Amino acid sequence: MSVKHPTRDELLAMAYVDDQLAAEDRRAFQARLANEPALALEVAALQRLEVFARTAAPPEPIDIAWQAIDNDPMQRGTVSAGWLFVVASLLGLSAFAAITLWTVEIGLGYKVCVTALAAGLLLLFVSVLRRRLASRAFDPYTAVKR
Amino acid sequence: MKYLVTTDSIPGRQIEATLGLVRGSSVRARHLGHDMTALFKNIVGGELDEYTKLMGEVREQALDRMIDEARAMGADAIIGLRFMGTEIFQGAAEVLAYGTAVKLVRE
Repeated sequence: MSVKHPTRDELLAMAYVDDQLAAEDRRAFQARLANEPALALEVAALQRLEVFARTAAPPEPIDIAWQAIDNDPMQRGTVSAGWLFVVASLLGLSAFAAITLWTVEIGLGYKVCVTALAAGLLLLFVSVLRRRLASRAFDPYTAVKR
Repeated sequence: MKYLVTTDSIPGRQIEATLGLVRGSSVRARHLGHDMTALFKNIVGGELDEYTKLMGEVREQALDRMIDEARAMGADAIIGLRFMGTEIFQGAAEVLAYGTAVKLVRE
């Protein structure tokens, strides 16, 4: 069986997260983090482990009950169907609203303004969502349970 | 960080220097889906575990930011640690963690 030895960067990342680097080495490592996304990702993974270890609590009886309920096929089906209906109806309502807007007898300026407002809000939402998805891997706190 | 305590001193250790106030804060929210399920749980009662998780996330992040600030100052410990919570935005949680960074006399 082969043993994978940590690379120098992995060892440095571990020492950084454990606060074992000297002040000068720490500053140098932080400067590298700003320019090396792969290294920053490695540090985030180690921080996630550290946060997990710090916050790990023994399971409570209620955790087991919740897990059993969440795994129940009836519960999963209800939740999935519920979300499906909500999302489908929202998309449908948006489509109907767009069609109504462009078929109803109102001024063209009003139609353009409402469409531009909707498009602007959608673009802003997409930019926020994109930012969140891109930064999620660097967020070690998503693993915290309570 | 070797010591992180709510007391004003660390039994058995002497403080060499007080480095000053350190603080860390964070504001976080769950996504709208969790807010919706929490709304329904609010109707039927019981723990809103979506928000229990949110409070845990924001507390740990604020704590880490405060510790990072103390590390940058060269502190060995943070004494007098306190947490403060406010609500800035509906459905979001803000926690401020603060304390005094100190340098300890070497053992």
